[in-house]
Amino acid sequence: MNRKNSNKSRNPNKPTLAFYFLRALACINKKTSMASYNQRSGTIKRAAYASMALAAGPKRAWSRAVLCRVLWWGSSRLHGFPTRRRPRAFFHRRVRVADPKLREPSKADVLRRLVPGAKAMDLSRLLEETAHYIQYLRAQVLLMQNVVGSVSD
Amino acid sequence: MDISKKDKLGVEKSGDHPNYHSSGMSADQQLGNPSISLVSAHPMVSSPCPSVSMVESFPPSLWNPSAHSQNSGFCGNNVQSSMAASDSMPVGKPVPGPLRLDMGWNPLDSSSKGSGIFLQTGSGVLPPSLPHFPTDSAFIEHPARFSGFHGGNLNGMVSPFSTAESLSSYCNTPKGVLGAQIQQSKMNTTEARMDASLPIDHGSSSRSPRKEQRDKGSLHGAGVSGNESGEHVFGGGGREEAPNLASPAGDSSSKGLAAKKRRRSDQGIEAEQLQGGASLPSVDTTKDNLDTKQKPEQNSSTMATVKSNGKQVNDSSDAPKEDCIHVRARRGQATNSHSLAERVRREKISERMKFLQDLVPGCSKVTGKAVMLDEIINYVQSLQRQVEFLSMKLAAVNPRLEFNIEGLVSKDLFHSRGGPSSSIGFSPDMIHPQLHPSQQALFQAGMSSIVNPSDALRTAINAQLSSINGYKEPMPQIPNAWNEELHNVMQMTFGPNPSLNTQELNGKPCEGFPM
Repeated sequence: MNRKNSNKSRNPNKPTLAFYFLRALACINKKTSMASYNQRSGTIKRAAYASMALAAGPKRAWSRAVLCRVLWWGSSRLHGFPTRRRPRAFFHRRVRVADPKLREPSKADVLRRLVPGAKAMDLSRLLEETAHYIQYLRAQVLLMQNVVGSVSD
Repeated sequence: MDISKKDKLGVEKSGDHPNYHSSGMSADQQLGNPSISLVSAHPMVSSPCPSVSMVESFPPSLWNPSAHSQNSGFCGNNVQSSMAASDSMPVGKPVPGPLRLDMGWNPLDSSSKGSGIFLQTGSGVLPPSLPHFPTDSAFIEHPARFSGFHGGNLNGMVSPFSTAESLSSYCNTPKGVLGAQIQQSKMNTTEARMDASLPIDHGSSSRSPRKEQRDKGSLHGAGVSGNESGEHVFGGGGREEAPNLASPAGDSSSKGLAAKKRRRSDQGIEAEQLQGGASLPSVDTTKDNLDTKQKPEQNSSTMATVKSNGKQVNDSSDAPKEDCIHVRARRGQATNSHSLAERVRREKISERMKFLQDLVPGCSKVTGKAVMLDEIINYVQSLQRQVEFLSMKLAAVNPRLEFNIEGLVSKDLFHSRGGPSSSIGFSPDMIHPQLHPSQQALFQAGMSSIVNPSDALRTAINAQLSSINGYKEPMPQIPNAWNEELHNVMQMTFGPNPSLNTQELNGKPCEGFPM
């Protein structure tokens, strides 16, 4: 069924993920060895998400949104502009105090905030994106755990 | 057997609905979820004979209250069967024989089950002589179910069953029902057939006149009414159908009746059948007719069942929502196109929720959307927090990374792929604008050492080739835009790639690189 196909998650391509992330790590290592610890950790986090999004491909809404964020952040950094306003409180987890609608956000809204690029989606699509996102998040976490484990060994 | 004869009767009468029956029956039958009935699913159509024989083989003794349990089980099986899963039909089950109108309602349940089987086996349930009413026999059986007297065996059954139910309920007064059912069945892609066949089978002679009336009436109204074909079919003779077709009011009444009937039989089955068959307004009318025609005791019973199951019975029955997926309204539910779409949407969501349930650990016992959503949110938040924490950890150990990057690469690759192939694929992808000769040599070495013909490997090979060609597409499968974005991201975020990779590649203790 068409629906089933769309619903079936494609398992994340682990080698691709590893490749992107490790390459990014190498770049960061070389480049930002002088940067502060926080800066580096933030960069590494962005690298993780970027590699995740790149491995996911452009077909998912969340991967596109993540890359947009990374690009936006990267461009703003490159151009020397202070990151005056992030498009979304994603990298820094800022929680909006007052909900614009002044109502308790429903669970779906909370999920929409969590999953990047899922702001304007109906529930079924949101769930699909969430499933895909969870898969890649899990793969990324495993990868990072491996890296940390191998480095710390 | 009487059933066969009835089938024949029904077939002949509803001869104008051959197409519907075949497609509807099979589609409906197989649908575990009555919501979707692929019109194109005609796997069963081709096997009329076996179904027929089944019908005939069922002795009247099968018509007993005990059949209910079987039927319900059967119906459940049918419901769960996949669309094309003809096997889902528990043919082997001792499905009660074809609907015997005089047997009473109980047998009807069993019959509906059998009809369900037939439906799944395809429209071919009917004897070969009844090409267009393959589901006649099934249809006959369904009436029992549809009538819901038996306690909702129909719940699991798709519309064809519902029609059968209606038929069954109509057993005593099959005439009108049959006609209505036939017409309605026509309208309902899947269930129409059943209905048509059932009513025909039911009333040998008495029914035929009614059926004809219904045929005419239901034909018009078939499209109008919703999935409550089952009930509509039984709605009675064509006389009521005509008005029903015209006015949804009649439908509502018939739906109410259908709802009542459904209460008796398996609510679920009935609901489904109703939905399937309720696509036609005539169905509603048939139900009305059915009720009226039914014997007093049956009427009361059906009424009781119908009422309970009738959800949104009063909704106007529109033509079944025609998506790219054909949806059939469930029994006892509104046949409104909006409600049908809503049902499709809801099922989509529940399907996705189930999938998410498998993804999120520890959610197998959780039921309900709200709790599941909570768990999902917690899980996503925890994963994101983990990424953050790990990135901090990596930042802390970063100084050590450059020395270990090669090991990391190989290790990760081995972890993820468990083989040197991934490493081979990895290294070529570490493309840098500056292609060092050593790198090229590395590529060639890597390529030569490629032994594992995995897809990743091929990708790596392609990547190598492309990289050698000039850093065009590290990942050939990825569209160019994506690759460009990748490069942009990597370069913008992390600066120009140092020649570290080359060194890493050279120094990598990977198997793929005989350094």
